[in-house]
Amino acid sequence: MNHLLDLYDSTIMQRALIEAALVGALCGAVGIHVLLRRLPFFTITVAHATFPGVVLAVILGASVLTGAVVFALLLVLGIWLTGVEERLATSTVVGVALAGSFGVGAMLQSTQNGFTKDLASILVGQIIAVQRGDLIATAIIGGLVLATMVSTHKELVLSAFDRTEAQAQGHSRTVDLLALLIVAAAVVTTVPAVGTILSVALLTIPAMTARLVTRRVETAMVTSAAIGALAGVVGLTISAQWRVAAGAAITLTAAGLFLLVLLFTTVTRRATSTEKAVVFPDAGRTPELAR
Amino acid sequence: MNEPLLHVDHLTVAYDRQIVVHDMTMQVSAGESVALIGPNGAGKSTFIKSVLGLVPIHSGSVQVLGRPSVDMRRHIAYVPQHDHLDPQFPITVQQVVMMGRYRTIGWMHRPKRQDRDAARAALQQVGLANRAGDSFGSLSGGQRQRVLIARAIAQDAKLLLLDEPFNGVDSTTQDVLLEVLSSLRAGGAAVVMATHDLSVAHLACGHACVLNRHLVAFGPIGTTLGSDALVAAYGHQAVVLAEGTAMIHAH
Amino acid sequence: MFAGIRLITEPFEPPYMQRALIAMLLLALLAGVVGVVVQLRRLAFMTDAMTHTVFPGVAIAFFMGDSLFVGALIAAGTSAVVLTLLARHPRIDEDALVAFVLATFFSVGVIVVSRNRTFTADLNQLLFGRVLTISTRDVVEIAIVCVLCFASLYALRKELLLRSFDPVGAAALGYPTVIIDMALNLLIALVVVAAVRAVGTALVVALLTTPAATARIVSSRITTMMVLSCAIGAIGGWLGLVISYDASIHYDVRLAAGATTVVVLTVAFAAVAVAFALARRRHARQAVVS
Repeated sequence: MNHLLDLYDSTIMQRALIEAALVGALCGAVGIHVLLRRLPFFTITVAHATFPGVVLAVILGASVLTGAVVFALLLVLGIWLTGVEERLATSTVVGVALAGSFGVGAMLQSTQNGFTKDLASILVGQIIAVQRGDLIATAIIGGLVLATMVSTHKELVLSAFDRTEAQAQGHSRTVDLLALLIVAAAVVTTVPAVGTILSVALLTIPAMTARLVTRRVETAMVTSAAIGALAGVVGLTISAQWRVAAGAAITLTAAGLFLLVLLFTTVTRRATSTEKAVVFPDAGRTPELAR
Repeated sequence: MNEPLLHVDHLTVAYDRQIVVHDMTMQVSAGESVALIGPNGAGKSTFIKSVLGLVPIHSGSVQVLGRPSVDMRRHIAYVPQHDHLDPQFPITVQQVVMMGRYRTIGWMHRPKRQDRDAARAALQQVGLANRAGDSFGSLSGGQRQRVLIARAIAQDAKLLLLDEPFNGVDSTTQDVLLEVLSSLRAGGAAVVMATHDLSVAHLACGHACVLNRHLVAFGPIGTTLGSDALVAAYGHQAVVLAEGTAMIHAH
Repeated sequence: MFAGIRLITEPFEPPYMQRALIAMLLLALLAGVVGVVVQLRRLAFMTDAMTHTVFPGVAIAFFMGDSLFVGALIAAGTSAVVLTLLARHPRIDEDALVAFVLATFFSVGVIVVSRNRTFTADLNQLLFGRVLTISTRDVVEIAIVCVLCFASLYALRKELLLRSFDPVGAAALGYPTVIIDMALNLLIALVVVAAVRAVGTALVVALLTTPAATARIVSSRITTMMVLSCAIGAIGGWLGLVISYDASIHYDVRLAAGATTVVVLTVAFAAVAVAFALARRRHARQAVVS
């Protein structure tokens, strides 16, 4: 226990904990949109697309964040312009983009000697190496993303639920672009902390968990953000305690929480389902998470 | 009276704690056809799915020829709405119709001469014999619906379940469908079709089943589709015109 | 002309390059056919997930000193079973589930290797493969997987076609859809395992999606798509090896063969997509004029 208190005492660890809580909460909230719009495949594709950007930035000596942002933007624009955002969940074109961008990154990376260490940190993240500047960047991007989400909440939710209705009001495609940009921003912010591959975990698993316990979009967002932050802090503590990779520990914590909640809700549902099943639902439906 | 082909006995279906079909009882004999009428969300599709064993039954039973419908699935043909299928899918009309024969052909085996003949005859019956080699997606919506009916014909089923077969189809297709359905009934098949088009229901079916999460009315179509049943199912969407007749507001 | 022939023969004089070429061509054949099925069944995301879920198996097998092939097979097989069974859960979205399984399995792998010193080198090999150090035994294993996959796909061709085109219809006809889905997912797992050590996860996804996607633009007949997809994969694999060899011998630039193949395949896809889009636009314009 003393060891644990010592851990929380060090500046490095404090910074890492704040970062984990921040990206956990941000990804948790954004994750609800990832689920509503069926964007998990897109999310992991954006994460892969930042890879060549990061490699190029390292080669050119530019800022890693800039490289990631530029390539994520290129991907979002490419997808938006080709108009496949309607069926992103299953589109083969997304698979092509994912493999292609990863291939470009790998080819660039193979031209450099002694690059493998940086590469590994891109893939699994290095939350312990987070600097003050990174924290500030996370807070600013996170704040901007959340502000955008709050101010355009109605439009985002409407266009996810009822595409024909949204198109009738004439702003569906712009809102689609906005949603993709929000997810991409969350990915770019998360990658340095937990890595490309595991950023998709923070952007889906807390939201999946929240969705098991609540159906209202707004409640789900708050719950999911809380779960994300909790998974970040607990996972990071476990990682420091037992010296395992932080990104992986955070992911497994989030996964464990999900499985616990799934088990719990399944058991309680089974216990109550027989008597509740006789109640007729009301006909007028508000947007719900479950279909 | 001989044993009914489809026997639904006190069927209740619940999805995720919500009752979708409540305590429904009805019978359909060979050669009969029944129109399932009801507003959106009344449980028409869910009822069809429960016959096919695609949604769990909460209580009650669905029997086909005296056996649980789930065991009789190869004798039940399901015709989905044509727009539920991906028109981009690389498949020919002939291949789609042949799917109706798959259970007869069996795992591993190739289609035999009689399967190809059955597929060809089915396409002929819906007037699309000359399109066999074309890709499914190159057809119009109505033609696609006819291909799906041809698939059901090729299956040689005893019970046909159709989900809104007349939705958004051209008049040629409507005529072909009506003709095909009556010839299938003459051949001893029973037909159950979900629809919200009352005029088409009158043309295609001898019986009607008005549904709004529970059975509102069931019987010969002329007497069943009275204003009382429709008002009960549709609420104020139903407009009573004259004594005993009503119409439904288009959505 | 002479230079052209030299380009074909010269890189493949060393035996290791010959083995690499044979492995690459076999994988192009395998992935070309399976890739079309992946596309029809819309499993691109699941395939990508599978390339990550093999990781814990590889990592654990590495530390236990067991065969990496067996380790990868167990991990990929387990994830295929989990994905098939949980996908039927009424309260979980299928693609969210794929992301969940992907991240969880991958994390277990990362935890296993993060406690070891050679972590980064192993991770690197898993991601990009080592096609140039491939052994004759590896080539034989890939060939066996090829035969197995083709035989299973041929046996299940009707059921897979029906399940892909009309998923509800397949269930309505009383087909055991769990078994059909499970069989396909296990086949994909097998392909991923066979390919991943040779060419790495990045190239596996590329081989399984990009050639099939390119073929789909050109053709809408499934058999034609399969032939085209194999041919595109094979040409891409060969070009990748040649370019990578040429760059290192003549220009002293190191280019990973697997990654180069991915880039070649992606460029080919983009070129075909743009060419067909332009052709279609011109066609539409002529139709309007006449």
